[in-house]
Amino acid sequence: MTRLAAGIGLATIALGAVALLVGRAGSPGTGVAAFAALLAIFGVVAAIWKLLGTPGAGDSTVLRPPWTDDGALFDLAPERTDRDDTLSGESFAAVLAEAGDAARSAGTTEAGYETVRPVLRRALADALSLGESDRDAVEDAIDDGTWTGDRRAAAVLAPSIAPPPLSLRERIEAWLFPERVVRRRLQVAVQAIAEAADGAIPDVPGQNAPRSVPVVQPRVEDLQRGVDGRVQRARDPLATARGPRPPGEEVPIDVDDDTTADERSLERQDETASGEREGSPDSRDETTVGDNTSDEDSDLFVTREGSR
Amino acid sequence: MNQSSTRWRGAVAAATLLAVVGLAARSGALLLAALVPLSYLGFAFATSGPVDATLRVTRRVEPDLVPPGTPVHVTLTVTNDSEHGLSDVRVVDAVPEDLAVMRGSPRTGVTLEPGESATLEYVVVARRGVHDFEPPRVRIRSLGGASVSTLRPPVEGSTELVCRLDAEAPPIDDQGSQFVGQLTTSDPGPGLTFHSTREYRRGDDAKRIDWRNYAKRNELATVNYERRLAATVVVVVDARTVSRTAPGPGRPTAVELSAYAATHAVRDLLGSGHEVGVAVIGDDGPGPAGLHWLPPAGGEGQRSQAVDVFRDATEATGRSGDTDRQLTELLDLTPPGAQLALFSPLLDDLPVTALETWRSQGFPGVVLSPDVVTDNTVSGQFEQVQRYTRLARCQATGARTMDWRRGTPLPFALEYAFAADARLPGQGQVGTKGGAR
Repeated sequence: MTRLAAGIGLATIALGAVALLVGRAGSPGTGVAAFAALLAIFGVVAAIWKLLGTPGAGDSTVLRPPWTDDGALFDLAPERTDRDDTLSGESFAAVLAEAGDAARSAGTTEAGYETVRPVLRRALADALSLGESDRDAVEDAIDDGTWTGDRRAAAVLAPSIAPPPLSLRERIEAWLFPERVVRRRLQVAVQAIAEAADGAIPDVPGQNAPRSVPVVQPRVEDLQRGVDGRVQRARDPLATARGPRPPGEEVPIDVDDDTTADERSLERQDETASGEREGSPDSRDETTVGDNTSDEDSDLFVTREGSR
Repeated sequence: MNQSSTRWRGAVAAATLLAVVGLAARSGALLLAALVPLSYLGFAFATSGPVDATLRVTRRVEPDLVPPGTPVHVTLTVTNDSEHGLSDVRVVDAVPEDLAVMRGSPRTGVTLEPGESATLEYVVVARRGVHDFEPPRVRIRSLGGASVSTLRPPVEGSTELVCRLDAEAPPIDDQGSQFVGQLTTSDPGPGLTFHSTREYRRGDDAKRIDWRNYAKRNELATVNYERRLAATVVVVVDARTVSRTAPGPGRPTAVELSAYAATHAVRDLLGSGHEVGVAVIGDDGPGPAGLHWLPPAGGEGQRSQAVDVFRDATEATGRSGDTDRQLTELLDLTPPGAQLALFSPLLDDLPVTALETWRSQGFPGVVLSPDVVTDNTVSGQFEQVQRYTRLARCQATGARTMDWRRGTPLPFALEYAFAADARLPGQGQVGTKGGAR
């Protein structure tokens, strides 16, 4: 078909050239003009057909364009899996989305907070109860906001607490886009809950163990959009539920580093030689860091200190 | 199969349009401009023709036998064995559908001279099962792109990745996996590891006499060794729907990781001579109350049966049993004095409640919780707080609790969970039935 179209194109150009010469040589005749008009109509129709038509439809000798199902090498991008597993965090993300919808439909931020408040209060009370035996005292602390120094977070969990006054810009935003304000406040509240829980929940062995087995970094398509709308990595080796670790506590092994894995292992053994070696496996892991490390594992993260 | 390409349809349209507009406008310049796309078309046709290529494809999967969660490196090498060069070769490897590429790319587009090779590398994270790699798809275009040939060349080398719960991953072997199951006791007795010395009593075995001490002080003393006791352990895997959660697309679920850890625990406990029972809750099994149940026993047969049970547990059947009834039945089935070892991600309160019940009835408990929560998103951070709270509640019951963080070697987690308690001060021996070995 392409050859046919090319041939027609060539013939059209040749005929056009002849018509042009004939028209210039003599007086402009109506026959030549009519022929030129016909050719023009034919050419425009052919061009439109060529551009808009489905190329290769029903013709096995023509490869369909790669953006069509027949022309693609794979139906599904081979990098991705077709399994539809439940991802961790989805259940609470649904609660957060529901809070945003409630705020949007009701037009007030309080409607969004009411949706998620029972879940947040229960989780915080459970965590604080581990350090405080009296559950009623914990509930009172949540009600009067003494569990945190952040009044914005305290106001989310207790409706009786007045949030800090909003600026004019924030009031306008809360009026126009209440769901955005709800998302930001919930992020603040969850962070405050994590910080409060950090002091109340006792350590469990293994929570701060180093990652001495290679952990693969997430791909770009694995990035998740957080409740604040920012795109972030699904797993950040520098982050824990108890707040971010100080910078430099975990260091990536650079593939360009001339130091071999064994040398790195020895260095870490020296660094941790005076540390505690018995008890939880957190401290024991440090002596084995690097044993499984190869220079190809550029994204292997290790922790120099086993405990926070 | 050789096919023609649609790459130049735009050039055909442009040539036609320029020609007719030039004709209608009686413009020689436009007619001349039509020759530009036509020249491209002429080049494409001149260089088109059957695309004959002989390609040799080699794939390497390292390692090809792994446990769940292990990064696997895949290397695909395409070599041009033809006598002529290939100007446009596009290769896409057929990654198994259950796996996701975590690093690198299974695609490449190169020009290959005769004898030249192109290599593409990528990393997938293993999930349980046998994953077949189909031949890659190769598309070769002529120099002008007018002719296209799509191939699926045969592959030499690895064609599958086997991910088994009982696979011996290199990191585990390197760091030892025999720590588990040595339920040593603080009481002295016969054994291998030195414990203490005491005054010699008539009838003590001569092999236990501390001859060095006799030579130095001229006093007979008898060496005590750490006494090792056989135990009965019931391994419980939480396979409920809520636990079939993964930290990311293409990653193993918490049930797969729990089953993997339980498999190694069973192997090491049996290897140390203990009797091990197996229970899977949250699935509709053939046992009582819908449990997958293996009564406590020892030996290699028990191990293979346990692996089969765990394998069934990892396969999502869509059926969920009555978990409350299963937990009640489990208590009836567990022999007195046995130790209950729970493998659960603790994504809800039910496992904690079950553990509190077990502990209240006097059963020693062990909890090993694989961490599948992504803790830097807001929702993940919140769920991690809840999970840490549950872990602390488990620990508060007196059960040895271990958070198996991703990237932490499994043997360390198992060692702590099963072997260390007997040496911890203030804790009695658990799960023993008293028979000295």
